[in-house]
Amino acid sequence: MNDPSTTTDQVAPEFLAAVAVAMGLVGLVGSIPVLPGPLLLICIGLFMFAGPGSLIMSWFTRLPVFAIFASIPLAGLAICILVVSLLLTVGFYSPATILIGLSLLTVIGGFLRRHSLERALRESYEQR
Amino acid sequence: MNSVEVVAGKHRVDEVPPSNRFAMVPWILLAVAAGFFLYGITTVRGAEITEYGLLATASPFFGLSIVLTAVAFGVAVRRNNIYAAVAGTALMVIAQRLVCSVATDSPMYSWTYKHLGVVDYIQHEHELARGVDIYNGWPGLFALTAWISDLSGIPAPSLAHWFTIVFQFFFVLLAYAVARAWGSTHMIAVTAAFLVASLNWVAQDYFSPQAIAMLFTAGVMMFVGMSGKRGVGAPLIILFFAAMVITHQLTPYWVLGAIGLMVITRRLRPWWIIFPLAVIVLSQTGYNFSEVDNFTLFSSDITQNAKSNIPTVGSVGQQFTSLAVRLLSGGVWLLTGICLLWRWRRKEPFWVFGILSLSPMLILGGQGYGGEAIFRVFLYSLLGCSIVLAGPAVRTLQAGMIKFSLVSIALVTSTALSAQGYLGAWFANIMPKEQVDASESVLEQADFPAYLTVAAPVWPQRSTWRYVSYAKFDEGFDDPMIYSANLVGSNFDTDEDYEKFTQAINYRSDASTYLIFTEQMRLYAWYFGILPLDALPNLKARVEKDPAWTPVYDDQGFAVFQHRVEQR
Repeated sequence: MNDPSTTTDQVAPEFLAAVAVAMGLVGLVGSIPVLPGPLLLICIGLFMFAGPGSLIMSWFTRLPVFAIFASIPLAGLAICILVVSLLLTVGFYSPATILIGLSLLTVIGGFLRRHSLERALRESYEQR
Repeated sequence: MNSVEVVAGKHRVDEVPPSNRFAMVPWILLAVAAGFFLYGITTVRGAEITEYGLLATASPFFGLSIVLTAVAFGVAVRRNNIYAAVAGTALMVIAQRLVCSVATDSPMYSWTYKHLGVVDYIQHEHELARGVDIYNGWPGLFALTAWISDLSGIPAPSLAHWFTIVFQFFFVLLAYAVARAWGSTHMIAVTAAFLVASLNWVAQDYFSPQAIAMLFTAGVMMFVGMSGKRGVGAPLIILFFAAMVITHQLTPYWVLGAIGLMVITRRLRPWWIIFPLAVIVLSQTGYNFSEVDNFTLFSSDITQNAKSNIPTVGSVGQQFTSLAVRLLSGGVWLLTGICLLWRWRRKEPFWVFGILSLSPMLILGGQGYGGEAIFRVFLYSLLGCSIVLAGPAVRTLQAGMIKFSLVSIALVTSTALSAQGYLGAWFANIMPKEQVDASESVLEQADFPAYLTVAAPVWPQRSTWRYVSYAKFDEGFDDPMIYSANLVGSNFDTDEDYEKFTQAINYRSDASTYLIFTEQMRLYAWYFGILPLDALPNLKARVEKDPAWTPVYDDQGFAVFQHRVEQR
């Protein structure tokens, strides 16, 4: 099978973390019920397919590019399915609360990820 | 390097320098195909009903658009024009799948509505109806759809109506990524994606848990393909697998089995991945064991497992379509086997490719899956077979004119067979909007408790949240009457047939029966050989004359009669 070993980031993890923040904010827009339905659907779709997945894949940026970009929407879909289904299984179902929660986690996670990457970069410069 | 590209020999197959002559040919062919499609699809709604399906009765340009797209793709590959090949793949998805959304008023297939009913229940009651049916034990797709629908205000049936085309694009993109992960060059990976787009006749791409499970399967197999010498993306494999497990019952077991085979034969790292995957799927099955223990969990009767869930012999048109898909499936598997044998002879990696492409057949050694295992076998093997076949296909398309011609003919023929397989039962499977509305009305207005009995399949049953109450009353409340009364094949032109029918109704002393007839049922039952074409009109005529039945509704192609049982 193909060995995808690379020693460099194929996509900048900071970029993916920034995308996660942006899509998390889009997800928050998707929780505003007074907006038109098609717009909400677009926001929810953008969040689901580009938010959590970008955050997760910011840890896997040494994979080939095709694998990164294929995994982003899939990871987001998986996260949303698992969160909504598992919460429903234990008796909790509040669509807006779940979306806001996921969006905030994605935004915060994205910020923290960017912050840790920038700090690591700063420290590597200082060590030289 | 164990990649498909090395098989070619001295140079990579996608490095054949293209000639400048006829550079525009693939684009011209694609443009013509697109034009054919744009015209052809306008003729679908008015197409006359026929047992041979949509291709036989819509404009010939509709079918030609599909065939010409395959020709254009072959030419694009020959000219090493990857952009045209990508465009051809996209056009194939559109040509074969967009029709499901734009030429119908409501989602196709009666079983779509069983899924929509679960979604509606979640939206209405904010909980799962555990214990009612198997769907509530595997809520992945239903919970997600309810969530999106509630957030956006877009009704779930509208989301379901466009599901097929969105899914197919996503799946084809993933097929490209999986092929790349398994060592294919760009052109070979695009070809694998094209084969997935053009050969998928199984029609499991409607609003279904199976479709979502296939997306996650592709994700898992992508990382499996990269995990030969060392593990890659194990956390992501587990994440995708977990989402698959909460969505579909059978698919995770095949994926686990395939991964297990690779681990045991030391072709996959890390070896311990099998344990968390097994824990996840067994936990889910254990938690929902009460939902599955009334099914046969294991059956080694391969012949029985391979039978479809429609045991009757259908109309001539249905037999023609059935023959088409058998030829296609057999041809794909045979060619895949030959390619694998060729790789083995040339001492190239074949074992893991064999597992990916042919291990789904092992399902038949353990499960019938309610008569649907045979369909899942092809669906599961499609990704692997496409990857195995893509390399030789590209190589041959880029070889001499004779080889190019032969492979092009094979490509066009297989595409045509697949399209016939997918669209052959079109008229039996469309769900007219008035019947969908009628189904919802019956659930809402019938005197509960009651049996909401369809005279024969199909009907958009269980389409709203109210089905749960009926299912709790009697899990078979909406079983087709001809099955309940063992009347398959009856023409209802004799008193004896009607007497058997009446006895089955009278046996239900605990609640009234609403008997439902539709034109769609008549067509479906005739198409699949369940009933003669006159059977349901004959039965309806007898019911109309029987004072035990009261007409409730009769208009717009459907009728409802009530057999009243006084509640004590």
